[in-house]
Amino acid sequence: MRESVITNCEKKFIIKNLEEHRRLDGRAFDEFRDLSIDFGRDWGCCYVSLGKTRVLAQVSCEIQQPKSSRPSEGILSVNVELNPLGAPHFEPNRQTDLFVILNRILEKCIKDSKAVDLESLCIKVNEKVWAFRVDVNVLNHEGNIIDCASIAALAALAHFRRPDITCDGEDTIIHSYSERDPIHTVIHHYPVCISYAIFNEGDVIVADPTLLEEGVADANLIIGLNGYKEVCGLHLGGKAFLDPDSILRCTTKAAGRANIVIQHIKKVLAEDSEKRNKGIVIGFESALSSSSADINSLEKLSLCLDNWKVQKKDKKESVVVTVESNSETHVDATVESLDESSAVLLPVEENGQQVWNVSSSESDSDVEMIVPQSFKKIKPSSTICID
Amino acid sequence: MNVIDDNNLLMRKVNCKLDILSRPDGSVLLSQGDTVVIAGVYGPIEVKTQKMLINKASVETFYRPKSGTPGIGDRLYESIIQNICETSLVSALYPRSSIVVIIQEMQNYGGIISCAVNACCFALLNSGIDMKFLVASASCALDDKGVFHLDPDKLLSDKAKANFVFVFDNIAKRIIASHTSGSFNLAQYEEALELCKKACDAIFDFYKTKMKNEIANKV
Amino acid sequence: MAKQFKSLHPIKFYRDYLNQNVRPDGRLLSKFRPVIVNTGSIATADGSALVRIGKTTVICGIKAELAQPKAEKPKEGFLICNVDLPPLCSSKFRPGPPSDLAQVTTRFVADLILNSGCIHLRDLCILKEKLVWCLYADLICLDYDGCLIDACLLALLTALKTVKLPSVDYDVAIDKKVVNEDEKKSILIYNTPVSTTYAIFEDKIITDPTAEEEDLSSGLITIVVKEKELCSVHKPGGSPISEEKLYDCIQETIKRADLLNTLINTAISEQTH
Repeated sequence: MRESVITNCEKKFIIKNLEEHRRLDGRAFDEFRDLSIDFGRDWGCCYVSLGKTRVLAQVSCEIQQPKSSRPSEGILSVNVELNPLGAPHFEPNRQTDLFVILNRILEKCIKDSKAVDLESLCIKVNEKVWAFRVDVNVLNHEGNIIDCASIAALAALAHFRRPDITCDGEDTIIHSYSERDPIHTVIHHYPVCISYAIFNEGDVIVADPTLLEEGVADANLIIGLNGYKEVCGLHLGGKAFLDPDSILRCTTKAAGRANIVIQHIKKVLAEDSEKRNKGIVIGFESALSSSSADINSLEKLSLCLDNWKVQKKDKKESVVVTVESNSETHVDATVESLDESSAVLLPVEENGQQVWNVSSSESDSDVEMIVPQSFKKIKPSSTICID
Repeated sequence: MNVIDDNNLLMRKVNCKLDILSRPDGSVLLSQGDTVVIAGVYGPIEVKTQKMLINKASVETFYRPKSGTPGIGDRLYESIIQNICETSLVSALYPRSSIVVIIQEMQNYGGIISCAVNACCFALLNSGIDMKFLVASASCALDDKGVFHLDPDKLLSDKAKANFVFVFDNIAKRIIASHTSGSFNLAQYEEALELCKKACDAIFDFYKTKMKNEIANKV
Repeated sequence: MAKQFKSLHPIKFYRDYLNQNVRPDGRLLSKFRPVIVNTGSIATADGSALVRIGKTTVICGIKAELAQPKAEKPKEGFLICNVDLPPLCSSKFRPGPPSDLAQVTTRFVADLILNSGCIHLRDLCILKEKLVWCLYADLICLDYDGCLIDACLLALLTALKTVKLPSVDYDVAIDKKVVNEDEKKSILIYNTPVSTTYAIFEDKIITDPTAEEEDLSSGLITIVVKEKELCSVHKPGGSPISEEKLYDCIQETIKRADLLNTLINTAISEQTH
């Protein structure tokens, strides 16, 4: 399906409203939508919702050979997947512009800013390092995927624990999570992306644009920032004649927002580890049942043994039948061996007549069918027999 | 196997939340024990010319694992879910259009196919697309001692001698799909089938109560 | 006239036949097509087989290579199956990346080999953590006329039974491998899973369908049996059917499995003579 177009009426309406300092969802220009972060039961699984935009991130790891240019560093790759669930025009495995931009910005923000201590992921120089892969799935696209994805990727990385290993000379033993406590990843700093949409050549700048606002905007400004107010990436896409001062102003505002987001991530991480220490069941299914009241659990689903009776007798019989009938099967078909290491299985028809003819000569080594007289009698209805 | 206090014939808790996403026409988050999936349905929507069918809607399904790109194992799930959707939908009502069903794995702790099929049916119900019948799926595992475990978790199904997944319709309770792994005999297969059929009855009841509540809440 | 009728109303055409309890190719509903197995068809491969079920033709070649085992499973070798459906075998398939059917069949066959335990990957280990055999089993369909899984499985099993691996001496200290081509041994095959496919057409079950029948049908059932035990009952969606009919199919498959086993064994013993 093609992406639905935003009509001129919609565009005009949004811009007119923005000129009157109004956003369609009633937010102020520098107000962000509600952010919530949930962790799954697996390590490094994180579900982030920003307004109605939903993203799922999962970190996975494996042992690989390091790149020859960086023999003592682990490998980190971030991969944003535009899931067809997110919007009907997203196609899997297609490199659209949006896909490339999202991946590049996230890579700049998280990998190139050296947020993750890659040297600690080295097992043996030049031979074995941990390779981390962050998969970000966009589940619902209602604007500002990048903020949501960067938060999810970062939170998932901070939440992830890799299995412990022991090196014994040449061998590397990977200990499962139950065998030994897993090790968490060292994160130097927490960079997140904050995005703004720019309208009317820089007159109006709104934070956290929705899908509609993104489509109407002249340009979008994405700033990667960490908790120390350091810029980790800056991307200005689209066409806007923006003066440097507005970018600086945006960056200052974004730094404040970044701090709030990072505090939030740290808070939920702490809550999660506290829960895990206490041994409380965690995961999406519990987050789900606690978040809304109207969910009725299904106690009826418990099946009890007393209304469950197996008819054992019947089954015994059926097994016997199969064994007995095996002796008769050879009437159904015959196995004939041909020369030159071949064999053929020929079905025999009901009346015992052989309908398939096998010739083993090279010229026509095929099986051909002889139509017996008996078939002609039962050849079906008049319409078909005309030829 | 007549031990009442043994919980091998209990299903894990099923829970669901409808309308979890705003973009799809129907969406659901379904959990069966610790296994969680999100299913979404778009449709009927515009169809690509090469996939267009003139007499019915083309059904497309995607199964997305949460890490990595979908492999050939996921293709098998996809084809099973696609076949189930094609039989259960009245696709002749929507010619020259397409119905897209997407399953996103959230947490896999065993029985993911069953969970995906049930979520898919819920999402279809939620989207309001016409269906011929409802479908429900249940799985069970047979362990080394010959004991059946209904709705096994990952640990049980990994250790099991055989695993069974069945999909039934809600009208005649006939078999729509059957997928097995491991080896077993005919008697065990019959037993597994009966067991899963009972479990599917419970799931059909769950569909009913859940949808009733949902409609009551909306009114 | 029949031709025109067939192309205009394929379903009606087929239904008329079935109402007379006969199929367009002259078979009764529950009859199989002849099966031909040829072993050692590819001289350069380490094991090979060619299988024909009616017109469906699948050739399987197995190539053995030395490889290093995975760190997680240091004692296990590899068996990598790949089902290829080239445009040659049917106009349904286009050149390019493997079609969905090819991927699904590959996965199903690979799963089945693992589940049935017909081959133990540990047997392919030469030296723990250092050297194992990796068997590449390439299944190429030369002519597609239904029952792809049956043909693939039969070809793969027959080919596996003909595989002969040379013995290898491995010196750890100097990392030297010596392959003795003279001392060849076959690998152990613990059981023989064989399958039969059925198609559902309206309320009838059709055994061993052709590609045409598969297209007209509203669902397929594949049942895999190994030595009196069921290995898989695979019905990937399609029209619902009742239990009794499914059980009938299973019984039928168990009966046929013996014949197919004899067939494989006959073909192999012919080769060794």
